[in-house]
Amino acid sequence: MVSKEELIDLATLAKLDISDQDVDKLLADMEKIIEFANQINSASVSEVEFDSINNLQNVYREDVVSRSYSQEDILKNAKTVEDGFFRLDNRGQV
Amino acid sequence: MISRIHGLLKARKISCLELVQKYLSGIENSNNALNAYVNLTADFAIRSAKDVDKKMASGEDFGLVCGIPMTLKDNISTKGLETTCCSKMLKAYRPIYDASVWERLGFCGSVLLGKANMDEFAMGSSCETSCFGGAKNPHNHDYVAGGSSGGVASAVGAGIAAFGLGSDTGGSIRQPASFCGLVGLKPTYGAVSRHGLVAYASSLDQIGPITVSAKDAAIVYDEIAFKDEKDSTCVGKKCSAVAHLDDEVLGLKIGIASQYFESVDSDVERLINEALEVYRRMGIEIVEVSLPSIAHALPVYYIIACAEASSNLGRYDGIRYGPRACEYENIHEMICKTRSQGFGDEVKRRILLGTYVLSSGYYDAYYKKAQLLRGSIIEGFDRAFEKCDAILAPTVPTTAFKNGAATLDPVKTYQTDVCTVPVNIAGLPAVSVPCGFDSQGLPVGMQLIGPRFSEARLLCLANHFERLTERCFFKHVEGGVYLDEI
Amino acid sequence: MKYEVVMGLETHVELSTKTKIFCGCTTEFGGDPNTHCCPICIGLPGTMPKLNCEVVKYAIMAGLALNCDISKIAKMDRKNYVYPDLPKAYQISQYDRPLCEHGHVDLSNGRRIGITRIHIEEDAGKLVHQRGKTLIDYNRGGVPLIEIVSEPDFRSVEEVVEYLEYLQLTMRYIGVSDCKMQEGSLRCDVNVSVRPAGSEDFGTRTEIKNMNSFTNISKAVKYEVQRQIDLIESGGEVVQETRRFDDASGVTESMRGKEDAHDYRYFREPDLVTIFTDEERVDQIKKLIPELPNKKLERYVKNYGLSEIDAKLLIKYKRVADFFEKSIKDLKSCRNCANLILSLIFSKFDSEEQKEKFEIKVSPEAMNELLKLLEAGKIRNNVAKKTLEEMLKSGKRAKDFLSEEDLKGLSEEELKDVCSQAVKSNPNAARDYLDGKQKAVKSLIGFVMKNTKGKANAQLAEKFIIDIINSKN
Repeated sequence: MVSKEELIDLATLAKLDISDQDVDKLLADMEKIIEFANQINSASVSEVEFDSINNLQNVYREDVVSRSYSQEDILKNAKTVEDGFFRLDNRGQV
Repeated sequence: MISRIHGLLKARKISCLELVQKYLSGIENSNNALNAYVNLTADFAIRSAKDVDKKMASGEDFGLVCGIPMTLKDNISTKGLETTCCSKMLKAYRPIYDASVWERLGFCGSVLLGKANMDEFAMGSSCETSCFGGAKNPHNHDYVAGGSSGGVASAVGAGIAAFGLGSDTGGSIRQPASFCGLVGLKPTYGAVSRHGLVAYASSLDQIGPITVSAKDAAIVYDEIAFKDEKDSTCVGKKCSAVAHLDDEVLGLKIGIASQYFESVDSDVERLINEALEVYRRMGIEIVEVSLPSIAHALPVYYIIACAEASSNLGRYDGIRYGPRACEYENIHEMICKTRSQGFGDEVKRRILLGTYVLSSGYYDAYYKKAQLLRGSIIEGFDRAFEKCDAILAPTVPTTAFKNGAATLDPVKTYQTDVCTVPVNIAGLPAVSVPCGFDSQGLPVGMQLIGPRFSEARLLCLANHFERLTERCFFKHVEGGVYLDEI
Repeated sequence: MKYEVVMGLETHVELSTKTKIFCGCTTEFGGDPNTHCCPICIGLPGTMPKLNCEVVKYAIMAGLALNCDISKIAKMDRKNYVYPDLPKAYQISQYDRPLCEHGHVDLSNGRRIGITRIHIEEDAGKLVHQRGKTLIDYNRGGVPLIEIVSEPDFRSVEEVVEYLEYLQLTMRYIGVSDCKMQEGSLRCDVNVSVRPAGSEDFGTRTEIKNMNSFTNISKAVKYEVQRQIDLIESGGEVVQETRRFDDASGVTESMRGKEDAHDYRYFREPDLVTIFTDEERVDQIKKLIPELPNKKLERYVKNYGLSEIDAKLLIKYKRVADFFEKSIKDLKSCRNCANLILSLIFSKFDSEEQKEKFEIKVSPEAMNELLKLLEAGKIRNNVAKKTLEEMLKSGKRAKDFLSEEDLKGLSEEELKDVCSQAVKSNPNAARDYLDGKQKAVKSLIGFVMKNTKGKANAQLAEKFIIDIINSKN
């Protein structure tokens, strides 16, 4: 089962901030969910390795240039932009 | 419904603009109570309707979906029109491109009335994880419309959209269709382009129609199932579903697998058995098949879906789109805060589970094992389809949940997907068809599951069922647009 | 104690396809920020990648050129990590089924460097850090890369540099990349460890990054090796970490502990399909690979009798080698050609870049004409040089500068006549020669040259002159 520390590491990996008041509730939820996932432990598996859901191969694009979007469109949904760049303000380091 | 509207438009009994205005006023009357639409695109709809009327006036030939007022689940990208996945994380996000399915329908003249409510990022079974609150069941507002494509089912079920497109990752089209007394088709993986569908679990997601009849589902399927260069995994349909709707079904075999009935409500089981009788009457043979491999389908589904989701949802960092946290020391903190503020609890739980099952040390026990089990589930279906042409099963073990019931215990809610997820795991097509009402008058659905690319046959079987039962399982809802007066 | 250095390289090479790996945006270097972008490049929700077929072809070419096995079945995987330059929060790469495996490069000292694998992946965008803010440009995001991973087989900096130069040359030869370190189309991370000489076990390694020239790689590795040895000698321990080379100070420094330990959670990219390459396809691609530089070098030395130094200089730039080979068609010797290229033509170029481009007004056919005149003795070396100068300036052919007279050449009879004239007109010189002053002949040859406008073969003239003097006495 997951420990509190593991859950916090997991959250860091998933780039989620867990507040102190949420951690116990989330821990309880995760316990249940992982226990639920553990049902597969007892399952025996076939020898057939799963490859991909549609068994397709070699679907390609030709190397032909298509028009890029305008800079304006690309930046349209960004919160902060500057001189054609996406901008992030930060006091510290990245 | 679609061919009826098409007939009325063609006969000039009603203009597209009048039609759209009827729907818009229907929405105005009912949507407050239903919460089916989260973003109305009335101006856009009126413009589109005028375009359609012009096109018709010019005598140009027009297809079946032309001029039909419809809705899209809010995870299908619409250029210039908000596409939020009902998450705070995509508040005010306006895509700069169209999803391939919408590009096609829009090109064909379908009129988008608005974007429909859904569980946040399609994660949920009741539509209640939506940041806009859940969509209500048109048959009884105390109950949910289902999820995750709850808004589409609510709108179509209430008669305030002629049809809609949803997405089905673990049952998200079929379950709300079943709850709202509608037809919901989850196409074969690879039949319909996913380009522009905001990804939840890429190896499971498929877009499909929610409609009031099998015929409508066939019409929409024919339009949206095409090979799309933008989706490497998409190959399109094998054949037209409309062309095969009335094919002879005598001599076909329908399989029944006991594994689908293990925890099913008695009302649901009874109605499925009655449906089997209807099929027997058509001269269809009912055979027993066994699907032991689906016993673990539910955890397999949640492991794979969450693993893919944890990766697919990594991109929401507040940099290129979406809101951004205000107070932070550095970029890492900015990203963490943005995500924590933007995502709801269920999304966070699934991201964490997905991160867990992929992380080193757990990968083999969970993700890899789940992939192997996925292989045996596929194999199990392959074997079953050697004995039958389609499998009949309940869509959901129960009828619609009461509002609020699903959010109490996440794992308990996962259990209600038990009948729908095997199809996604195996990439198969399945259609949910209304087959009756429970003691409280809530709709019950049954699903027909077929081999890959057998949509035409499934819809044909559904169509025959509707015809033999005289469509008695479709109910009009007060306030809906049914055009009976014309 | 004596230490042995052990190094392994991870080399990223940007492929010179026209478009990005997963979309049709241009791969052109530079451009205004975020102008070579589409929804796929910035990872908008709902976008899907579509693999560029040239990327697969180029990667297989690279694999074949580096003696790799080409995987029949390969697939793409997601490498998950969050960083602002990675718009999807995962890089589409290859994990356990790369396109190419088990290759090698042979070094001049006889040692063989194993190549573990070559896989294809997408490049990330570019971050510009400024005071209090970070600016992001995704133009480079999605540019195709191959990552060439070597075995830890390197034992010296010289080996590393030779290997990289060889990779660079080979990639340019097969035309899959321009491999410019300054523009970042060739990037290299070096894993460095040291161990007591004779030991079989590996020491703890560090990974050094951020070197944008061969000189810097050399500097960085030397610094890092010394740092590790000093650390061990002083009783410390090397920590496994990533270190950044600082160009200005010439030292490697620990990259500040990233926020979290890396766990890339690789899994198969569900939006892309299997890459299947059968033998037939491999054979097709093999045909596209030109003679590789190491084979060419061997041939130049063996068949053309060139010195290794000259041969290497000619081979270093594929366009030069191509020009050279076309120019020497049907010639008996290729020395004249090599000399003219290496001295006269190369003197026109100021930079490596210009040599690489090798843009000159003289076609190999025109060069061949000139060389044929020279070989036939119709013109002498100095005339050939002057003519080539003119050709380089104007783009005209040799015959446009040489008169009938120039080209008529000199028959042996004519030469003999001029030689007799020379002896007759300079009796003193002839006498001096007979007195044992060998040098005196030189002035007679000079006379011959002057009177034949340099068309005479000096060696032949000398022989005739001596014969004439001797016969008269």
